[in-house]
Amino acid sequence: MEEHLLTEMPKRYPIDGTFELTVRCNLHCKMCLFRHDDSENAEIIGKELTTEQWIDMAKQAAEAGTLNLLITGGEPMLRPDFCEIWEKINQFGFFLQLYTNATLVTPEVMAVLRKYPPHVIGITVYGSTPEIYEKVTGCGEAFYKMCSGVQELMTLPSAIQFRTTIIKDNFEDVRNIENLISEKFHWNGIVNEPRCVLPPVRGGASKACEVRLEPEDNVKLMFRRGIDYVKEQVGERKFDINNLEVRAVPRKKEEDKKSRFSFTLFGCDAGMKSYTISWDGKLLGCQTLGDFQTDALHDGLKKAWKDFPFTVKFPELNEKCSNCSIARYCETCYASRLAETGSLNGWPEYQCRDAHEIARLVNGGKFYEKV
Amino acid sequence: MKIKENFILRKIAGDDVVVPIGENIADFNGAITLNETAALLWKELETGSTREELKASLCKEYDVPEEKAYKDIDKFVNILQEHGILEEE
Repeated sequence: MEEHLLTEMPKRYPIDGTFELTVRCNLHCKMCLFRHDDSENAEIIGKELTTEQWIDMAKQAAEAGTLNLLITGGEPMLRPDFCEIWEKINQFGFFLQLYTNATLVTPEVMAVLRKYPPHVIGITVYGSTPEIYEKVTGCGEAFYKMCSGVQELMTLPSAIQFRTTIIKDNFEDVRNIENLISEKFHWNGIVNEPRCVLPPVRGGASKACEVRLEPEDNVKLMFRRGIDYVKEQVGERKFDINNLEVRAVPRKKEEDKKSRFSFTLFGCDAGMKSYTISWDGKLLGCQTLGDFQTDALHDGLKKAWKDFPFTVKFPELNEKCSNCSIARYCETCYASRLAETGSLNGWPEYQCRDAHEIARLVNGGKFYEKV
Repeated sequence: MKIKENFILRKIAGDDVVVPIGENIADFNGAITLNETAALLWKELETGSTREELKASLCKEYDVPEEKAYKDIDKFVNILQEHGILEEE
């Protein structure tokens, strides 16, 4: 293979930023990627950026050319200075997106959000009853708080997105969650779900691996809307998931995307167009991947962004993944490989089983290559 | 004429982009990308400017006949008015 060496770093613009105001949360979701053990909270609070530091970081982000800024956590509203941070960072002119579990929406929060509504609010809903909330988040009461929080947030002119994460405890509840959102909250979009639940990252303490779906169920969840449609067409009695023929038809947009050549660090926009500032002021390529980082708090965001690519070093990919015949169905990236195996080049069994299940379905259930 | 409060002109990857914030997102939840001339007019309009003052700025910065300058200004001002971005002083 012909080798090309770049003579200079391709242009990188920090257009999309994420501010992880805290990794602390009032809920204790069993599958959380980021929340640490509660015993660490005192230490975390001591290291979290202060109000002024977040406001200054936002100023630096604006100067560096960030247009889209996601404010997330943990639960960002858990910070007592959330309102002050929100009000101040609005004045720099970002497209602001806010991720929240909607359980801490106080009149003070609503007053500041009314003054400066987020352009987009992403609300996570974990169940359709207090019992499911108790199982997933450890707090049944949070269900009622979420319901009233959502009602409040929906009075804002913001675009709303609903999100959920499905694990064993709410797998049977997925349709009820969707019904709750459409019937009680009168929102009819597609509820966003992460494609795979990963083990916790960056010091997170959850038990995601114990509670996440088996890969085979995870794939059924992904194909669920399509499967429901087929069931409707052929009738429940004639429906047999094991003889279902699924074909992968690439969308035109995906074909165009493939033909475009672009430079990446990780195979995505991380570190080229997007970044995360962690709760303690580090600049990361993405919130899930903590192995490469620069120090935005001490060196400033501009320098941290400039220096970031020089921290990135990859080992050679493992043989199994390098020679995989169904890689096109695989969702693995460097961040998920690290989360699953503890190594950037490890073989992630969970995602491999997931990809094989997709391959089996796409090939009419006939294809099966042993994992 | 003046740009209403809570529209912020930003420089993003070399482009001039206007971001609505606050109550403006209720009426306009999107971005406006300005070309060089429009960005010059926008900056004038941020502090308030008349049609004649805009023409003077445009003709000072670019070698453009008055008639063409007025035409460009009217076109831009119309777009801003249509989107409710301008207020009369």
